[in-house]
Formats: sequence, C-alpha cells, structure tokens
Amino acid sequence: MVEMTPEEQAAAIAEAPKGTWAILSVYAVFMVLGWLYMFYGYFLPHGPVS
Amino acid sequence: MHVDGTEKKWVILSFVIAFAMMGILAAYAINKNIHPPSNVETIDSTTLHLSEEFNEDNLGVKKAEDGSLVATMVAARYGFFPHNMKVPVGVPIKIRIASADVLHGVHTAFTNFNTMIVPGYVSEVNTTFPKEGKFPMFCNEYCGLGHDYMWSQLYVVSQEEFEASQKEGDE
Repeated sequence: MVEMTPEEQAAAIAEAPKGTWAILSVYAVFMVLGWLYMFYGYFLPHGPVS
Repeated sequence: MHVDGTEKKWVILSFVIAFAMMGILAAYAINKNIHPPSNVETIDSTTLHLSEEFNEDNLGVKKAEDGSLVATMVAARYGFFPHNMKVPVGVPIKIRIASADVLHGVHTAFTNFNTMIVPGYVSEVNTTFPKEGKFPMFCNEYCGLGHDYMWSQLYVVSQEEFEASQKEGDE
C-alpha cells in the first residue's frame, strides 16, 4: 500500500468521499431497478385492480 | 447547519427516487384506474345467509343486468364459499365478498386479488385475471385456530369453458 503524505491525507479528508458516494449510488440503482422489476414485472402483469 | 456534500446528494437522490415511484403510481392510478380497492357498503353479517345477494344459492359468478360479471363470495370460519370458483381469463370481473363471522382476508396467489373482509362490510374488488390456471385463495388475516386451513381454489379458464360451465351451472 502506498503511504500518503500528510498533504495528500489532508486533501483526501477535505474532499467528498467518492467511494461512499459510489456505494450509495450502486444501492440506489439496485433499489430503483428492483422496484421497477416488481411493479412492471409482477404487479401490472397480474391484472388491474381497483 | 453544515451538511456534507455527499449527504446532500444522497438526500436529493432519495427524494428523486421516492417522487419518481409516487409519480409512476399516481400516473397509473389516474390513467389506468389501478389503485387499492375501496368500497364502503355495510351489511348485517349475522343475517348474511338470509340476504338475497349472499344467500348460499346465489353465490358464485353471475352476469349482471348490464352484462358484466359479478362474483359473490362469503368468507366464514374456515373457508371461502363457493369453495371452487371458475372465472374467465381476460374479462373484467367484480368480486364482492362478505364475512359471516370475524375478520378475514383473501389473497389469491400469483394475482392481484387481495383484500380484507371486515365483518359488517362488503369488500369489492374489480380486476381481470390475465392468465389461465388454478390459483389458491388463502385467508391472510388470522381468524382463529383453523386459519391455516382456510383456503379455496380459483380456476381461471378460457371464455368458452367458462360459458360452458355457466350453462351447466357448475361454477
């Protein structure tokens, strides 16, 4: 593992955590795709209800 | 109050997702009339068997005066009556169901027919069954010691078979 200099550490802490944002985005995509799959793949094909 | 940039993005994204989901549901509710069943109609559960509509002889699927299909059912500990019911595939049908005793629920697996059956009220669901097959109907509200055994069968059949069964009177 490459050692970070104190300046690099300070810069990394100062900026937004990109890795966290990437994980959140992946979860968001999974959640949206899962919901769309359930709604369009299961709920609507099972017939309209009212 | 300081809010981190990543948190702000996540909050915005969460709202976008939630509003998008609500928007899709609202669009289908308005344009396609797809929404949870709601019907407020009272009935005396203790004299259900004496009422014209829910009399034992009148249960099952019938054609209304306007030609639409209406299925009348009774839920009572521990079964749904009629125990086996045939409905045609792809045809809109109104299902009216009342409880003769306590709170029940009915869920037909692999379909969207699912409603609570509150004693004293008539539950009404308008739906269309898109696939032929034999579907189990379960009680999904705990109604007593026999709740686990409270089930029935729904047969979704072709229109020809349904018409033939109507003529034979075996629905």
